[in-house]
Amino acid sequence: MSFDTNNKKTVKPGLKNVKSFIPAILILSIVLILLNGCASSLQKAKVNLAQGQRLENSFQTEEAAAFYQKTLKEMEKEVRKNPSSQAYLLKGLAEFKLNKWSEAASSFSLAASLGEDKAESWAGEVSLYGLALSFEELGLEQSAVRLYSILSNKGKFSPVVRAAVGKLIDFQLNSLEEVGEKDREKILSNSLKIIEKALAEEPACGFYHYLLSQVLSHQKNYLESFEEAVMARELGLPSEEIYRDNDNQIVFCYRTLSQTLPLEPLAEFKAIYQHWINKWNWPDEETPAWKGR
Amino acid sequence: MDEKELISFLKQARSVIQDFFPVDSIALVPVIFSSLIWSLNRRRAIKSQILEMRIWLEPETLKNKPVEFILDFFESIPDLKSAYAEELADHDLRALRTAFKALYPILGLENPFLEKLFSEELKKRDYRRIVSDFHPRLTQALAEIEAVPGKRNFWKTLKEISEAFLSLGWSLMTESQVREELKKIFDKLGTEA
Repeated sequence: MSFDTNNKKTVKPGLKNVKSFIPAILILSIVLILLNGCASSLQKAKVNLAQGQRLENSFQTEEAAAFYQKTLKEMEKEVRKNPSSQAYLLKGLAEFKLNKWSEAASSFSLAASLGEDKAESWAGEVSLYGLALSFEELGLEQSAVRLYSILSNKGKFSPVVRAAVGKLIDFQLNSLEEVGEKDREKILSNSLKIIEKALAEEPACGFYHYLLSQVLSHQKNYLESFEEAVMARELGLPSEEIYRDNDNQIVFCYRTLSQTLPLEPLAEFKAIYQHWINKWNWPDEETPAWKGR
Repeated sequence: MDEKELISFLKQARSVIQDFFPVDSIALVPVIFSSLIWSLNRRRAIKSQILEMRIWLEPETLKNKPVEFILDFFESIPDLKSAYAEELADHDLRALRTAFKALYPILGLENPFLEKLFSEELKKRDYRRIVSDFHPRLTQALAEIEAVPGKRNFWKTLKEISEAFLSLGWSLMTESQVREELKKIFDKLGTEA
């Protein structure tokens, strides 16, 4: 009995202790659930963003935009509940993908103020790119070109750098008509340098290979232009228009090389060409699969 | 694929969408036609695709092509070659460049919106008319779309029509087959109206 009594006596304080721990355990559980919820919300947003990028790469931009919207909504909620550098970074990335320049810049700034180092330069680059687009719309081309040049030289945020390099090259090529042969060569070799520098940073970017193919075509270097266009196609291009334009470049190179290459290299080139068009299911050498007529 | 089913679908689609546009709108048929083609590709949001046309060729593709590319474009399409025979013989690059800017998006890149907007001229092979009317007509069509009352509902309705089109099973055919079929039926509907 005494044992029992003693036992009861020893158990009671234990129960009391457990009872006194219950609020702490409850709070801890709530905190854990909240933390878990927060982590999973960031995790979900990252998955949605990656899914959006994957769809964008296969030109399914409508579906991609839906995933970016989802990420944005998720992160808007997240930053209200639990503002963190990562949440602002993801919010900024989604906004950037949805062409909301000023919102993206401000999200990156907030991410930087919360300790995300790279976000500070991203915020600046997005603002500069938005500014350059505004200059261009207002007809202030030289100011726009200066900003595109700064971004293509010093930019760290690859989507902005890509867009800036594309714009810069188009401006360079635009001046070709008004200059003499010597200046023409200078402009083209300068354009090549810009693209090669960008390619050194991102060798698997299809868009840079597309740009390179176009500039090489201006230099009448059709064999290399063809090779770069094939690489661009294989690596993926950001829009349907570029994809079609790149295919037209491939056909143009084929037609030109068929007329200019000596017999032996021509046979070699035609065998390679055949290999690619079989892979792409083109009905013949001069008709890409999407072409209707 | 059942032609009757497609005719009744397009009639319905046209009657729904025409409520958003003024009578005799030039944008109505190009909007429906291009939406169906783009939905088939599932590559672009219809709204952004149409609105991007204001700055066509400028946002991403390089608009500055080498002379050789422009000449090849005119020489590789027989109808264009004969329509611009004089400029080609005179090596009139200024005229050819201007014409290229209007004709390349339609004949080179096969943009369905522009193709339908200039379908009459394409049928008649009146390429010079396309070049002279390109900017004013495109501006007018885009202004009509911009002025659509209840824009939110308009884009939503257009998206619903595109989704209904895919559910008819047209996505199983190639883009060029669907283009031809749609063109044929739009012509029929045009003569009925």
